[in-house]
Amino acid sequence: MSDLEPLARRVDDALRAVDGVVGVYSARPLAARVLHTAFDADAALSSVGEDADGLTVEVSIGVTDAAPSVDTARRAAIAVGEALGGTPASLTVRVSRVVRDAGAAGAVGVA
Amino acid sequence: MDDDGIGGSGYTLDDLSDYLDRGRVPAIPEIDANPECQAVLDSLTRMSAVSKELVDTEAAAVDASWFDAVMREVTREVRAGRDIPLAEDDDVHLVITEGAIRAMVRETGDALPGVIVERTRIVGDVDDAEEGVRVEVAISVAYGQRMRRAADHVRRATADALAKHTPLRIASIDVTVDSLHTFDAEEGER
Amino acid sequence: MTLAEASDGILAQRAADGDAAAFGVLVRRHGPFFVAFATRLTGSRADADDAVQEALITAWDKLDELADPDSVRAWMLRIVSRKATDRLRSRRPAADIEELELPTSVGGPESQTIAHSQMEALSAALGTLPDEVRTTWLLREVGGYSYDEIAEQTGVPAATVRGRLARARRALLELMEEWR
Repeated sequence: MSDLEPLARRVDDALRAVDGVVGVYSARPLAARVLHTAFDADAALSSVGEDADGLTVEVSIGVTDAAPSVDTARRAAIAVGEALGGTPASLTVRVSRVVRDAGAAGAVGVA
Repeated sequence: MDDDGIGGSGYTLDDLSDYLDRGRVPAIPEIDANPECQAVLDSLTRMSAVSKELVDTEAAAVDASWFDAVMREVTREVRAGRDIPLAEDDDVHLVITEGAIRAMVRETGDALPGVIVERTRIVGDVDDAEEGVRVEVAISVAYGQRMRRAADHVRRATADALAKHTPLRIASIDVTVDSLHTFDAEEGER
Repeated sequence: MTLAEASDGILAQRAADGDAAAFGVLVRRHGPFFVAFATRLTGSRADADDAVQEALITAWDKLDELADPDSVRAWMLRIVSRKATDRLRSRRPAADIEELELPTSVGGPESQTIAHSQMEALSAALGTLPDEVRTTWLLREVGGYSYDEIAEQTGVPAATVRGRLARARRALLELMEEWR
Protein backbone atom coordinates (compact mmCIF):
# COMPACT_ATOMS: atom_id res chain seq x y z
CA MET A 1 0.00 0.00 0.00
CA SER A 2 2.72 2.42 -0.90
CA ASP A 3 0.34 5.22 -1.89
CA LEU A 4 -0.99 5.29 1.64
CA GLU A 5 2.51 5.62 3.06
CA PRO A 6 2.46 9.46 3.02
CA LEU A 7 -0.84 9.37 4.90
CA ALA A 8 0.64 7.05 7.47
CA ARG A 9 3.55 9.40 7.94
CA ARG A 10 1.21 12.30 8.35
CA VAL A 11 -0.52 10.32 11.09
CA ASP A 12 2.83 9.65 12.78
CA ASP A 13 3.64 13.37 12.80
CA ALA A 14 0.19 14.31 14.07
CA LEU A 15 0.51 11.84 16.94
CA ARG A 16 3.87 13.18 18.00
CA ALA A 17 2.31 16.62 18.38
CA VAL A 18 -0.44 15.46 20.72
CA ASP A 19 -0.18 16.65 24.29
CA GLY A 20 0.59 13.63 26.44
CA VAL A 21 1.91 11.39 23.68
CA VAL A 22 5.53 10.58 24.44
CA GLY A 23 6.21 7.95 21.83
CA VAL A 24 4.95 6.51 18.57
CA TYR A 25 5.56 2.82 17.93
CA SER A 26 5.20 0.34 15.12
CA ALA A 27 1.49 -0.34 14.86
CA ARG A 28 1.90 -3.75 13.32
CA PRO A 29 3.84 -6.60 14.92
CA LEU A 30 6.83 -7.15 12.70
CA ALA A 31 6.97 -10.29 10.63
CA ALA A 32 9.70 -12.84 11.23
CA ARG A 33 12.92 -10.95 11.54
CA VAL A 34 15.75 -11.51 9.16
CA LEU A 35 19.05 -10.59 10.68
CA HIS A 36 21.25 -8.18 8.84
CA THR A 37 18.40 -6.94 6.72
CA ALA A 38 18.63 -3.19 6.48
CA PHE A 39 15.30 -1.96 7.76
CA ASP A 40 13.83 1.25 6.46
CA ALA A 41 14.28 3.74 9.23
CA ASP A 42 12.03 6.21 7.43
CA ALA A 43 9.04 3.90 7.07
CA ALA A 44 5.88 5.04 8.77
CA LEU A 45 5.07 3.50 12.11
CA SER A 46 1.33 3.92 11.98
CA SER A 47 -0.70 1.65 9.80
CA VAL A 48 -3.13 3.04 7.23
CA GLY A 49 -5.04 0.62 5.04
CA GLU A 50 -8.01 0.88 2.76
CA ASP A 51 -10.98 -1.34 2.06
CA ALA A 52 -14.49 -0.95 0.65
CA ASP A 53 -15.68 0.94 3.71
CA GLY A 54 -12.82 3.40 3.70
CA LEU A 55 -9.62 3.81 5.65
CA THR A 56 -8.54 1.36 8.37
CA VAL A 57 -6.08 2.93 10.74
CA GLU A 58 -4.11 1.44 13.60
CA VAL A 59 -1.68 3.37 15.75
CA SER A 60 0.46 2.51 18.76
CA ILE A 61 1.49 5.19 21.21
CA GLY A 62 3.25 5.76 24.49
CA VAL A 63 1.58 8.18 26.91
CA THR A 64 2.62 10.16 29.93
CA ASP A 65 1.54 8.88 33.27
CA ALA A 66 0.63 12.44 34.25
CA ALA A 67 -2.82 12.18 32.67
CA PRO A 68 -5.31 9.30 32.46
CA SER A 69 -4.47 7.17 29.44
CA VAL A 70 -7.99 7.34 28.11
CA ASP A 71 -7.80 11.14 27.86
CA THR A 72 -4.54 11.10 25.94
CA ALA A 73 -5.80 8.32 23.71
CA ARG A 74 -8.90 10.31 22.92
CA ARG A 75 -6.82 13.36 22.01
CA ALA A 76 -4.71 11.15 19.80
CA ALA A 77 -7.80 9.81 18.03
CA ILE A 78 -8.98 13.35 17.31
CA ALA A 79 -5.55 14.30 15.95
CA VAL A 80 -5.55 11.26 13.66
CA GLY A 81 -8.95 12.24 12.31
CA GLU A 82 -7.75 15.75 11.61
CA ALA A 83 -4.61 14.50 9.89
CA LEU A 84 -6.70 12.35 7.58
CA GLY A 85 -9.30 15.02 6.86
CA GLY A 86 -12.09 13.10 8.56
CA THR A 87 -12.63 10.17 10.89
CA PRO A 88 -11.55 6.96 9.21
CA ALA A 89 -13.90 4.02 8.80
CA SER A 90 -12.05 2.19 11.51
CA LEU A 91 -9.50 3.55 13.96
CA THR A 92 -7.67 1.76 16.75
CA VAL A 93 -5.51 3.75 19.11
CA ARG A 94 -3.40 1.38 21.18
CA VAL A 95 -1.60 2.62 24.26
CA SER A 96 1.47 0.38 24.41
CA ARG A 97 3.40 2.16 27.08
CA VAL A 98 2.77 4.45 30.04
CA VAL A 99 5.83 6.51 30.83
CA ARG A 100 6.51 7.83 34.31
CA ASP A 101 7.88 11.36 34.51
CA ALA A 102 7.00 12.28 30.94
CA GLY A 103 9.97 14.01 29.36
CA ALA A 104 12.33 11.32 30.61
CA ALA A 105 13.59 9.31 27.64
CA GLY A 106 12.02 6.14 28.93
CA ALA A 107 9.99 5.29 25.86
CA VAL A 108 11.84 3.34 23.22
CA GLY A 109 10.59 4.76 19.97
CA VAL A 110 10.75 1.53 18.07
CA ALA A 111 11.19 2.02 14.41
CA MET B 1 52.07 -45.21 25.94
CA ASP B 2 53.25 -48.46 27.51
CA ASP B 3 51.00 -51.09 29.04
CA ASP B 4 51.82 -49.96 32.55
CA GLY B 5 49.98 -46.74 31.89
CA ILE B 6 51.16 -43.30 32.83
CA GLY B 7 54.18 -43.41 35.11
CA GLY B 8 53.69 -47.14 35.56
CA SER B 9 50.43 -46.57 37.43
CA GLY B 10 48.45 -48.91 35.22
CA TYR B 11 46.11 -46.07 34.26
CA THR B 12 45.95 -44.46 30.83
CA LEU B 13 45.34 -40.86 29.90
CA ASP B 14 41.72 -41.74 29.20
CA ASP B 15 41.43 -43.13 32.72
CA LEU B 16 42.93 -39.97 34.19
CA SER B 17 40.54 -37.94 32.09
CA ASP B 18 37.59 -39.82 33.59
CA TYR B 19 39.06 -39.54 37.07
CA LEU B 20 39.38 -35.80 36.74
CA ASP B 21 35.80 -35.41 35.55
CA ARG B 22 34.54 -37.55 38.41
CA GLY B 23 36.13 -35.07 40.80
CA ARG B 24 38.73 -37.67 41.82
CA VAL B 25 36.20 -39.65 43.80
CA PRO B 26 36.31 -42.39 44.81
CA ALA B 27 40.02 -41.83 45.34
CA ILE B 28 42.44 -44.09 43.48
CA PRO B 29 45.69 -44.35 45.46
CA GLU B 30 47.67 -45.61 42.46
CA ILE B 31 46.93 -42.35 40.71
CA ASP B 32 47.09 -39.99 43.67
CA ALA B 33 50.47 -41.31 44.77
CA ASN B 34 52.00 -41.36 41.32
CA PRO B 35 54.04 -38.26 40.42
CA GLU B 36 53.65 -38.61 36.67
CA CYS B 37 49.89 -39.00 37.02
CA GLN B 38 49.74 -36.00 39.29
CA ALA B 39 51.75 -33.99 36.78
CA VAL B 40 49.29 -34.89 34.04
CA LEU B 41 46.29 -34.06 36.22
CA ASP B 42 47.89 -30.75 37.14
CA SER B 43 48.45 -29.94 33.49
CA LEU B 44 44.86 -30.78 32.64
CA THR B 45 43.59 -28.61 35.47
CA ARG B 46 45.85 -25.76 34.44
CA MET B 47 44.73 -25.97 30.82
CA SER B 48 41.16 -25.81 31.98
CA ALA B 49 41.88 -22.68 33.98
CA VAL B 50 43.78 -21.08 31.11
CA SER B 51 40.90 -21.83 28.75
CA LYS B 52 38.47 -20.01 30.98
CA GLU B 53 40.90 -17.13 31.30
CA LEU B 54 41.34 -17.02 27.56
CA VAL B 55 37.64 -16.68 26.91
CA ASP B 56 37.24 -14.15 29.72
CA THR B 57 40.07 -12.05 28.34
CA GLU B 58 38.60 -12.06 24.86
CA ALA B 59 35.22 -11.25 26.32
CA ALA B 60 36.63 -8.09 27.82
CA ALA B 61 37.51 -6.94 24.32
CA VAL B 62 33.96 -7.20 22.99
CA ASP B 63 32.43 -3.80 22.56
CA ALA B 64 29.29 -3.06 24.57
CA SER B 65 27.75 -1.16 21.67
CA TRP B 66 27.63 -4.42 19.75
CA PHE B 67 24.64 -5.33 21.84
CA ASP B 68 22.68 -2.23 20.97
CA ALA B 69 21.77 -3.82 17.66
CA VAL B 70 20.53 -6.94 19.40
CA MET B 71 18.50 -4.93 21.86
CA ARG B 72 16.89 -3.04 19.02
CA GLU B 73 15.77 -6.33 17.54
CA VAL B 74 14.59 -7.61 20.87
CA THR B 75 12.59 -4.60 21.86
CA ARG B 76 10.84 -4.35 18.53
CA GLU B 77 8.35 -6.94 19.49
CA VAL B 78 7.17 -5.68 22.82
CA ARG B 79 5.15 -8.33 24.57
CA ALA B 80 1.87 -6.54 24.26
CA GLY B 81 -0.49 -9.17 25.55
CA ARG B 82 -4.24 -8.61 25.51
CA ASP B 83 -5.91 -5.39 24.50
CA ILE B 84 -7.89 -3.80 27.30
CA PRO B 85 -10.64 -1.46 26.14
CA LEU B 86 -10.33 2.13 27.35
CA ALA B 87 -13.37 3.44 25.53
CA GLU B 88 -15.24 2.51 22.45
CA ASP B 89 -17.44 4.33 19.98
CA ASP B 90 -18.61 2.70 16.76
CA ASP B 91 -15.53 3.22 14.68
CA VAL B 92 -12.96 4.33 17.21
CA HIS B 93 -11.37 1.78 19.55
CA LEU B 94 -9.20 3.10 22.31
CA VAL B 95 -7.25 0.32 24.01
CA ILE B 96 -4.36 -0.12 26.35
CA THR B 97 -2.25 -3.24 26.19
CA GLU B 98 -1.78 -5.64 29.04
CA GLY B 99 1.95 -5.22 28.47
CA ALA B 100 1.69 -1.48 29.06
CA ILE B 101 -0.17 -2.03 32.31
CA ARG B 102 2.22 -4.66 33.57
CA ALA B 103 5.20 -2.47 32.73
CA MET B 104 3.54 0.36 34.58
CA VAL B 105 2.92 -1.81 37.64
CA ARG B 106 6.55 -2.88 37.48
CA GLU B 107 7.85 0.66 37.33
CA THR B 108 5.47 1.88 39.99
CA GLY B 109 6.78 -0.77 42.34
CA ASP B 110 10.40 -0.14 41.41
CA ALA B 111 10.04 3.51 42.33
CA LEU B 112 9.41 2.55 45.94
CA PRO B 113 12.52 2.38 48.11
CA GLY B 114 13.98 -1.08 48.57
CA VAL B 115 11.57 -2.74 46.18
CA ILE B 116 12.25 -4.53 42.93
CA VAL B 117 9.29 -5.99 41.12
CA GLU B 118 9.92 -9.48 39.81
CA ARG B 119 6.69 -10.60 38.21
CA THR B 120 3.30 -9.15 37.41
CA ARG B 121 0.14 -10.90 36.34
CA ILE B 122 -3.34 -9.81 35.41
CA VAL B 123 -5.64 -12.75 35.93
CA GLY B 124 -9.15 -12.81 34.60
CA ASP B 125 -11.23 -11.69 31.69
CA VAL B 126 -10.16 -8.17 30.79
CA ASP B 127 -13.17 -7.69 28.54
CA ASP B 128 -15.75 -8.39 31.21
CA ALA B 129 -16.32 -5.15 33.10
CA GLU B 130 -18.49 -6.89 35.71
CA GLU B 131 -16.21 -9.72 36.64
CA GLY B 132 -13.14 -7.84 37.76
CA VAL B 133 -9.58 -9.03 37.53
CA ARG B 134 -7.04 -10.14 40.03
CA VAL B 135 -3.64 -8.51 39.95
CA GLU B 136 -0.64 -10.43 41.26
CA VAL B 137 2.68 -8.77 41.96
CA ALA B 138 5.78 -10.58 43.19
CA ILE B 139 8.48 -8.37 44.63
CA SER B 140 11.93 -8.56 46.07
CA VAL B 141 12.56 -6.45 49.15
CA ALA B 142 15.92 -5.13 50.34
CA TYR B 143 17.20 -6.42 53.65
CA GLY B 144 16.33 -3.91 56.30
CA GLN B 145 13.09 -2.87 54.73
CA ARG B 146 9.93 -3.93 56.44
CA MET B 147 8.29 -6.47 54.20
CA ARG B 148 4.70 -5.87 55.22
CA ARG B 149 5.03 -2.14 54.76
CA ALA B 150 6.76 -2.56 51.41
CA ALA B 151 3.97 -4.86 50.24
CA ASP B 152 1.33 -2.38 51.39
CA HIS B 153 3.05 0.45 49.56
CA VAL B 154 3.18 -1.59 46.40
CA ARG B 155 -0.48 -2.50 46.72
CA ARG B 156 -1.54 1.10 47.16
CA ALA B 157 0.66 2.45 44.41
CA THR B 158 -0.54 -0.27 42.06
CA ALA B 159 -4.17 0.42 42.85
CA ASP B 160 -3.69 4.14 42.15
CA ALA B 161 -1.93 3.53 38.84
CA LEU B 162 -4.54 1.04 37.70
CA ALA B 163 -7.39 3.35 38.61
CA LYS B 164 -5.82 6.19 36.69
CA HIS B 165 -4.95 4.31 33.55
CA THR B 166 -7.41 1.47 33.15
CA PRO B 167 -11.16 0.99 33.46
CA LEU B 168 -10.58 -2.47 34.89
CA ARG B 169 -12.49 -3.46 37.96
CA ILE B 170 -9.82 -4.72 40.31
CA ALA B 171 -11.11 -7.56 42.47
CA SER B 172 -7.87 -7.84 44.40
CA ILE B 173 -4.19 -6.99 44.32
CA ASP B 174 -2.03 -9.77 45.77
CA VAL B 175 1.49 -8.70 46.59
CA THR B 176 3.94 -11.45 47.47
CA VAL B 177 7.41 -10.87 48.83
CA ASP B 178 9.23 -13.49 46.83
CA SER B 179 12.77 -12.83 47.89
CA LEU B 180 15.08 -10.54 49.77
CA HIS B 181 18.09 -8.87 48.28
CA THR B 182 21.12 -7.09 49.52
CA PHE B 183 22.70 -4.17 47.82
CA ASP B 184 25.99 -5.53 46.57
CA ALA B 185 27.32 -3.19 43.97
CA GLU B 186 30.00 -5.61 42.87
CA GLU B 187 28.04 -8.71 42.18
CA GLY B 188 24.45 -7.61 42.18
CA GLU B 189 23.82 -10.85 44.04
CA ARG B 190 21.49 -11.50 46.93
CA MET C 1 19.16 -0.37 43.68
CA THR C 2 19.28 0.03 39.95
CA LEU C 3 18.57 -2.74 37.49
CA ALA C 4 22.25 -2.81 36.58
CA GLU C 5 23.06 -4.13 40.05
CA ALA C 6 20.27 -6.68 40.31
CA SER C 7 21.09 -10.37 40.43
CA ASP C 8 20.71 -12.62 37.40
CA GLY C 9 17.72 -14.32 39.00
CA ILE C 10 15.77 -11.11 39.48
CA LEU C 11 16.66 -9.88 36.01
CA ALA C 12 15.58 -13.15 34.44
CA GLN C 13 12.20 -12.97 36.10
CA ARG C 14 11.74 -9.37 35.04
CA ALA C 15 12.75 -10.19 31.51
CA ALA C 16 10.37 -13.17 31.43
CA ASP C 17 7.74 -10.75 32.60
CA GLY C 18 8.40 -8.63 29.51
CA ASP C 19 10.89 -6.08 30.80
CA ALA C 20 13.26 -5.44 27.91
CA ALA C 21 15.49 -3.22 30.03
CA ALA C 22 16.14 -6.11 32.42
CA PHE C 23 16.95 -8.35 29.48
CA GLY C 24 19.30 -5.66 28.24
CA VAL C 25 21.25 -5.78 31.49
CA LEU C 26 21.60 -9.55 31.17
CA VAL C 27 22.70 -9.19 27.56
CA ARG C 28 25.38 -6.64 28.38
CA ARG C 29 26.50 -8.51 31.46
CA HIS C 30 26.99 -11.90 29.77
CA GLY C 31 26.99 -11.10 26.08
CA PRO C 32 30.72 -10.48 25.73
CA PHE C 33 31.46 -13.88 27.26
CA PHE C 34 29.02 -15.51 24.86
CA VAL C 35 30.67 -13.85 21.88
CA ALA C 36 34.15 -14.91 23.00
CA PHE C 37 32.91 -18.43 23.66
CA ALA C 38 31.20 -18.71 20.30
CA THR C 39 34.25 -17.28 18.54
CA ARG C 40 36.42 -19.99 20.07
CA LEU C 41 33.88 -22.60 19.20
CA THR C 42 33.27 -21.65 15.57
CA GLY C 43 36.68 -20.22 14.82
CA SER C 44 35.03 -17.22 13.23
CA ARG C 45 34.04 -13.94 14.83
CA ALA C 46 31.48 -13.32 12.09
CA ASP C 47 29.80 -16.67 12.72
CA ALA C 48 29.96 -16.05 16.43
CA ASP C 49 28.23 -12.69 16.05
CA ASP C 50 25.38 -14.27 14.10
CA ALA C 51 25.07 -17.19 16.48
CA VAL C 52 24.96 -14.99 19.57
CA GLN C 53 22.46 -12.57 18.05
CA GLU C 54 20.14 -15.42 17.13
CA ALA C 55 20.65 -17.02 20.51
CA LEU C 56 19.78 -13.84 22.40
CA ILE C 57 16.65 -13.30 20.37
CA THR C 58 15.65 -16.92 20.96
CA ALA C 59 16.35 -16.51 24.66
CA TRP C 60 14.11 -13.43 24.81
CA ASP C 61 11.29 -15.38 23.21
CA LYS C 62 11.66 -18.39 25.44
CA LEU C 63 12.49 -16.82 28.79
CA ASP C 64 9.21 -17.82 30.36
CA GLU C 65 10.20 -21.45 29.82
CA LEU C 66 13.20 -21.04 32.10
CA ALA C 67 12.50 -23.04 35.23
CA ASP C 68 15.36 -21.75 37.37
CA PRO C 69 15.87 -18.00 36.92
CA ASP C 70 19.15 -18.02 38.81
CA SER C 71 20.73 -20.24 36.19
CA VAL C 72 19.84 -17.95 33.30
CA ARG C 73 23.47 -17.52 32.27
CA ALA C 74 24.08 -21.26 31.84
CA TRP C 75 20.73 -21.55 30.10
CA MET C 76 21.60 -18.80 27.65
CA LEU C 77 25.07 -20.25 27.06
CA ARG C 78 23.43 -23.55 26.10
CA ILE C 79 21.42 -21.74 23.44
CA VAL C 80 24.53 -19.93 22.24
CA SER C 81 26.43 -23.21 21.92
CA ARG C 82 23.59 -24.82 20.02
CA LYS C 83 23.44 -21.98 17.54
CA ALA C 84 27.22 -21.94 17.23
CA THR C 85 27.50 -25.68 16.66
CA ASP C 86 24.66 -25.48 14.11
CA ARG C 87 26.71 -22.94 12.27
CA LEU C 88 29.79 -25.14 12.42
CA ARG C 89 27.89 -28.10 11.03
CA SER C 90 26.36 -26.17 8.18
CA ARG C 91 29.61 -24.61 7.17
CA ARG C 92 31.54 -26.09 4.28
CA PRO C 93 34.41 -28.10 5.74
CA ALA C 94 37.53 -25.95 5.70
CA ALA C 95 39.97 -27.37 3.23
CA ASP C 96 42.76 -25.98 5.29
CA ILE C 97 42.98 -25.23 8.96
CA GLU C 98 44.45 -21.87 7.96
CA GLU C 99 41.02 -20.82 6.69
CA LEU C 100 39.77 -20.56 10.24
CA GLU C 101 40.11 -17.07 11.63
CA LEU C 102 41.01 -18.32 15.04
CA PRO C 103 42.84 -15.61 16.93
CA THR C 104 46.24 -17.04 17.67
CA SER C 105 47.33 -14.12 19.73
CA VAL C 106 45.47 -12.69 22.64
CA GLY C 107 44.83 -9.01 22.12
CA GLY C 108 46.05 -6.15 24.23
CA PRO C 109 49.30 -4.42 25.00
CA GLU C 110 49.87 -6.48 28.10
CA SER C 111 53.37 -7.36 29.16
CA GLN C 112 54.59 -10.80 28.23
CA THR C 113 53.87 -12.68 31.39
CA ILE C 114 54.10 -16.43 31.58
CA ALA C 115 50.36 -16.63 31.89
CA HIS C 116 49.97 -14.56 28.74
CA SER C 117 52.13 -16.84 26.68
CA GLN C 118 50.32 -19.87 28.06
CA MET C 119 47.07 -18.39 26.83
CA GLU C 120 48.60 -17.81 23.42
CA ALA C 121 49.90 -21.35 23.28
CA LEU C 122 46.52 -22.75 24.27
CA SER C 123 44.77 -20.45 21.86
CA ALA C 124 46.84 -21.74 18.98
CA ALA C 125 46.52 -25.34 20.14
CA LEU C 126 42.72 -25.13 20.29
CA GLY C 127 42.75 -23.91 16.73
CA THR C 128 44.34 -27.11 15.52
CA LEU C 129 41.68 -29.41 16.99
CA PRO C 130 38.89 -30.83 14.85
CA ASP C 131 35.62 -28.91 15.31
CA GLU C 132 33.74 -31.44 17.39
CA VAL C 133 36.70 -32.10 19.64
CA ARG C 134 37.27 -28.41 20.28
CA THR C 135 33.54 -27.90 20.88
CA THR C 136 33.49 -30.69 23.45
CA TRP C 137 36.50 -29.25 25.24
CA LEU C 138 35.01 -25.76 25.39
CA LEU C 139 31.63 -26.95 26.56
CA ARG C 140 33.23 -28.99 29.30
CA GLU C 141 36.10 -26.81 30.46
CA VAL C 142 34.71 -23.34 29.86
CA GLY C 143 30.97 -23.97 29.83
CA GLY C 144 31.10 -26.37 32.74
CA TYR C 145 28.46 -28.68 31.32
CA SER C 146 28.13 -32.35 32.22
CA TYR C 147 28.67 -35.19 29.76
CA ASP C 148 24.92 -35.66 29.45
CA GLU C 149 24.34 -31.98 28.76
CA ILE C 150 27.09 -31.93 26.15
CA ALA C 151 25.70 -35.14 24.64
CA GLU C 152 22.32 -33.52 24.29
CA GLN C 153 23.73 -30.38 22.78
CA THR C 154 25.98 -32.07 20.26
CA GLY C 155 23.61 -34.89 19.45
CA VAL C 156 25.90 -37.81 20.28
CA PRO C 157 25.96 -40.38 23.10
CA ALA C 158 27.70 -39.51 26.36
CA ALA C 159 30.33 -42.14 25.63
CA THR C 160 31.28 -40.27 22.49
CA VAL C 161 31.54 -37.07 24.48
CA ARG C 162 33.89 -38.83 26.86
CA GLY C 163 36.00 -40.03 23.95
CA ARG C 164 36.21 -36.61 22.36
CA LEU C 165 37.15 -34.99 25.63
CA ALA C 166 39.94 -37.50 26.18
CA ARG C 167 41.10 -36.89 22.63
CA ALA C 168 41.13 -33.13 23.21
CA ARG C 169 43.14 -33.57 26.37
CA ARG C 170 45.64 -35.84 24.73
CA ALA C 171 46.12 -33.47 21.80
CA LEU C 172 46.38 -30.37 23.93
CA LEU C 173 48.83 -31.97 26.33
CA GLU C 174 51.07 -32.93 23.48
CA LEU C 175 50.81 -29.52 21.80
CA MET C 176 51.36 -27.59 25.01
CA GLU C 177 54.37 -29.74 25.82
CA GLU C 178 55.77 -28.93 22.41
CA TRP C 179 55.46 -25.21 22.92
CA ARG C 180 56.78 -25.13 26.42
